[in-house]
Amino acid sequence: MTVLTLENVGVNLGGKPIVQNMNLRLESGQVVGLIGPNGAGKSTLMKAIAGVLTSEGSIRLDEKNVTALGNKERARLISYLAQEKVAHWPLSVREIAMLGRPPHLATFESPSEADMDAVDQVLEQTDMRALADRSILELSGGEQARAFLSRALAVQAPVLLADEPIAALDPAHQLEIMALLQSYARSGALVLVIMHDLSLATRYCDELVLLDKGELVAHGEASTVLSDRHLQQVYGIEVARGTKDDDVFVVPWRRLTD
Amino acid sequence: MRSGNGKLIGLTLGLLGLLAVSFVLSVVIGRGGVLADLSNDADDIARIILLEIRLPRALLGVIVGLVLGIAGAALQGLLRNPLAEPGLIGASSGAAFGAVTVFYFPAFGAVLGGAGATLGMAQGQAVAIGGMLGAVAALSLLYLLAGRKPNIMTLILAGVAINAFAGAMTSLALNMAPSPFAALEVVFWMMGSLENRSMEHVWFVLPMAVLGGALIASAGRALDAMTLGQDTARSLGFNPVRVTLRVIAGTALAVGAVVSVTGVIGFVGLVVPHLMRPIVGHHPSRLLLPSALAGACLTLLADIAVRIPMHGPELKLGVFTALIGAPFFLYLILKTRRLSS
Repeated sequence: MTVLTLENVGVNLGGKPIVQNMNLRLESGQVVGLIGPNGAGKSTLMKAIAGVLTSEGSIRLDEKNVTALGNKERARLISYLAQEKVAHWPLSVREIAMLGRPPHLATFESPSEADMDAVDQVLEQTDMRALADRSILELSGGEQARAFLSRALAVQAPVLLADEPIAALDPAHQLEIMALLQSYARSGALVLVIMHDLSLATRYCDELVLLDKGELVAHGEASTVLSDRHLQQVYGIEVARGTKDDDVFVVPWRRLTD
Repeated sequence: MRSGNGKLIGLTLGLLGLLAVSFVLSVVIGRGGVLADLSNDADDIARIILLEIRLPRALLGVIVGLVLGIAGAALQGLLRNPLAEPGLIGASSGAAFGAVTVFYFPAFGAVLGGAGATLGMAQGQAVAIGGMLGAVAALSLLYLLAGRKPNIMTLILAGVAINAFAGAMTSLALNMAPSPFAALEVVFWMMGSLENRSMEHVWFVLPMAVLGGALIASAGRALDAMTLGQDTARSLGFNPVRVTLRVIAGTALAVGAVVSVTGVIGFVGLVVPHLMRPIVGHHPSRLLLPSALAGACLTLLADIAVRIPMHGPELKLGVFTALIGAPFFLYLILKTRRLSS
């Protein structure tokens, strides 16, 4: 089992603290939802874990100090799907997925058969085999999201960080991507996913981490984290709750005014 | 990708074949029937023409084309702009201004020539040394203007500013030229040519072209990752700032050295990546080698073409590449218009 531990993690941007005193212990095999209002520091925290931003405090993966690792080794251990999902050139889906393999390659080394097999396998999982040779620019939003997720999965890292992977997707594709992330977690990885949909968070995440104003508000099972008190305090909303097939769902109902 | 690799290997072999043929043609074709004379073992003049005039010219053509091709492909990848070309960052105009300074101030040229001689360089390299100093000055200025963490916009703006300044200084030098002949000499040099270059020029350019090319080539995979944005590239273990600096330094070094010796040969670096994309795709790293080889083929073939008229003054290579490059630009405009509609 892999354990990601954050101790007193803080991130400053332009001299301003964006994330402070973050202490978390996250275990592999789980989907952990990172939730909170806009500007809560979710993306900043995720970037710090991915090594995209420098941070204070300690980020450890088992016994390894992530911030002290070489860039390539860190990239092999932690895969990151950025919020900005762009391709500046019209690459094919397969070429984009193959961009998950550089952490496993030396500077001038060509991808091996094993790398190509890994990419084929991922494209199979994301149901993108049939579109593998199509340009990313010719695809629909849902297909593009699956293509970029394929790239993040192709790293085959024990930790996958995904920043809003289901934003702007229709409900069918949202369910499909969340199921995919869940199956990746069940294969032994830790999946940390930023999302705004509280119902899907409740349904697919084993744990939730709630942030507000750069600080941790709650961490645990959805039933504890999404309490009326937390939701009023952080989002200023009232929710409606229900059950379907024994699963609880939460729907934002009305905004509370002071 | 699997079939793409086969395509890349096939293309590379094809281009190597074309390069070999172009190289032989470049050595064989020219004014004077050298080949016929060479069959006579005693003909020293033919041997001199072949080994001391045409061979360096062909070798320089290969190096110039390789450098312009790889630098063009790398800059288009880095700046995510299909209209980027090696001259964009100011190294070419900096080198041209440095070289013109040597033409204009003979005393400065003598100092550089003397300095070169003490470093073991042959006489007559003052223009090239001046050009290289100009390229290094342009690169330093680019670093100063673009800052420690350059982004695409500041790099392009800094390049535009340096090009404008170096162009203005070059025009000033021409404006103040002591005689029309001095001005004419500078103008002809700036048109870009491989004519009358020696093995000394080849040796001057080679180390910087190799070093610059290696710097660019080592950034290939990082350029691919940067296609998906800076954050993704960073998460994949690349440092976008360092990659940018590496590509810029490699381009300035290699292109600066080339321009110092040949003058400005435009359009090769712009056109070649566009010719290769339909075959190898848009992956920045996969474009580097084919663009370099195609650049070398194009430069050699263009340099052969300028020699074909057997009478009258030889057409300058830079003029010829511009003549074939400008219509290509028009084609790009029409293609972009068609795509956007």
